[in-house]
Amino acid sequence: MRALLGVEFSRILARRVTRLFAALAILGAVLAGTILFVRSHRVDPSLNQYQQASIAREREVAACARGEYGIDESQIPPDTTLEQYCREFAVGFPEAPDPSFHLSHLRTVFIGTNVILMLLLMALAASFVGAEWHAGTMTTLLTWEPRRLRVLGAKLIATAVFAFVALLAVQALIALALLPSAIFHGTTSDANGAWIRALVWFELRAAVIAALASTLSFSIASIGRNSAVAVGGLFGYMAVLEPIVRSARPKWQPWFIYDNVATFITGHPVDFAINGRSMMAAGGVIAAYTALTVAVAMAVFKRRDVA
Amino acid sequence: MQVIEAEGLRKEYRRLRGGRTLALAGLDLSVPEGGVFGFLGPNGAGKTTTIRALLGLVRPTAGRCRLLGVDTPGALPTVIQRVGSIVETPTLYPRFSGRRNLELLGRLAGIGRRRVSEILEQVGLSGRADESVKTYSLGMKQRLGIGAALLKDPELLILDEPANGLDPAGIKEVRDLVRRLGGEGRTVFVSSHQLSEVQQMCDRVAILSRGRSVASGPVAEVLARGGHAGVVVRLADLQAGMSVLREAGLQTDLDTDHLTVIIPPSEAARISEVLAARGLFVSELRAQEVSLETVFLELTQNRPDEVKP
Repeated sequence: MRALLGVEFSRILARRVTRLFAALAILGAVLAGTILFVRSHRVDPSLNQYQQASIAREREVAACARGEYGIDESQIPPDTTLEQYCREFAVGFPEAPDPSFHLSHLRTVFIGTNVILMLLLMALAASFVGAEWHAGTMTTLLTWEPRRLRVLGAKLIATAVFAFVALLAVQALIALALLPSAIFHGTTSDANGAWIRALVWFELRAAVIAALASTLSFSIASIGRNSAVAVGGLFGYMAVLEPIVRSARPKWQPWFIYDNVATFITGHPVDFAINGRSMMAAGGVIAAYTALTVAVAMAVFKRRDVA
Repeated sequence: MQVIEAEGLRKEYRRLRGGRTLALAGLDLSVPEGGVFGFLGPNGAGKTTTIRALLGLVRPTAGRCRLLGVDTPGALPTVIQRVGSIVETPTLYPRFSGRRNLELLGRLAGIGRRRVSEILEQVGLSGRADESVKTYSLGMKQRLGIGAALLKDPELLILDEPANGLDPAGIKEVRDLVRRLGGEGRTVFVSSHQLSEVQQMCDRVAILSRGRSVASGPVAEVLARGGHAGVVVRLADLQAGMSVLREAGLQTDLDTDHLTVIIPPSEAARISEVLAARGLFVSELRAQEVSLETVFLELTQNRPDEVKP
């Protein structure tokens, strides 16, 4: 199994599409960092309008942190203090424009980039197995290792690990690219130890979802022996089918992929709450969907004629 | 010991729009250990399906097959390290170099880089081993595929049309290689439609038609099944000779510059006796050469439809 895994990792890393993904990620991070650095600057404290708005907001945050907003503990994501929650979610940002970059805004940046990266990683995962079927290399591999479940298992593990590591690596790269803007043209003062811990857990959960989503995409592509089947099917489901079902059957919300993914990653802040479902349970639902799809892919692959 | 056995092997493929295609119709096959075994058949006869079934790539609808004494696909993992194979056109990762491809395959079987270099040398690719496979010609890819099959130093080599895409020099190289490998005590199972090649390199053959074996055995035995084996006779007056031989009850055909008498070569003396008795003397008397192609065509054409899907 170790040899198979080694071969699969080598293959994934040597693929042109993987290198393109890496190049685009680096380019995107550098561009974003440069643009932000150029466009951001520290606020002049003498600007009365901003100062007043900031002071007013700080007052609101302090009131919220004293419990005056009546926020229930169950609404606060794990590893997040009440004050952090108030600052990031409950209390609105000052209406006066703030051209400085606060490092604490990184979480908001990551929410957006997580979605993009997950979609890209799902497409990559589908192409890993779709290309094998298309090129016919699966036949060659099976004449060396006829234990099909091992072969597919190694590919699935390699794909999931790649997605997990790739998401974290790209997000770290983005953080690194945006850091100079926070240091020189903004502030890092609100990014304390608790904030870093919360951010790390947030991204680890996102990476877990990226790994599960890639596994799901890979499994569907393996069943259909085609990358487009998985990419089209999953995107079609998320963009068309689930919204339609959501509007027709709102009571099914606890079983929708989107809601469970959002609940798991964000630790269910107000906007994404699913009544009666914890963060771990939401993750469990996604894991169960993935496991079911993997089981079907394994069963099909075990019995399939490789022609 | 039989290294390959198939008993009543049957494979039906379901068509997308209903119905079934019968690829193998109860194939019986037995390949003894050692030497080169040719597996012949016209397109669609079921050669590649047989090989795929032996290697566990397709699941037979009925029947059983054994490789190196074990049932496949169930026990195939226990013997796969002793089997090297090419199935149709060998497909390797096009963006990797030839060397990298072999190294990756080798890792699956614990084979080191030195062996990879040896094989690349053996198949004549060491000069371009570090270039990506997508730049290789079809012949080079075929040679790399043969290299991959040889990497495990296998007891049994299963080669599906190994000379596909090769130029005459390449075909000769493959033929020499296969003969050498067969001479080393390995068993080489070669499917091919290049009959002259098979005749030159194989010790035994099986001929497949419509999913069944219609002839099998040592090449000489299979050739002897050619129904038109006879004796070639040359003499000055072909017309007179034909009349005399026909009068004597011998089936004789007139060709451009010789007569063909349908009689076992061992009875050729009777021809000279009959002709000499009538004052006709032969200038040449020899057994007609029967090619595998003749036998192949005879056995695979004009056969009633035995197979009904």
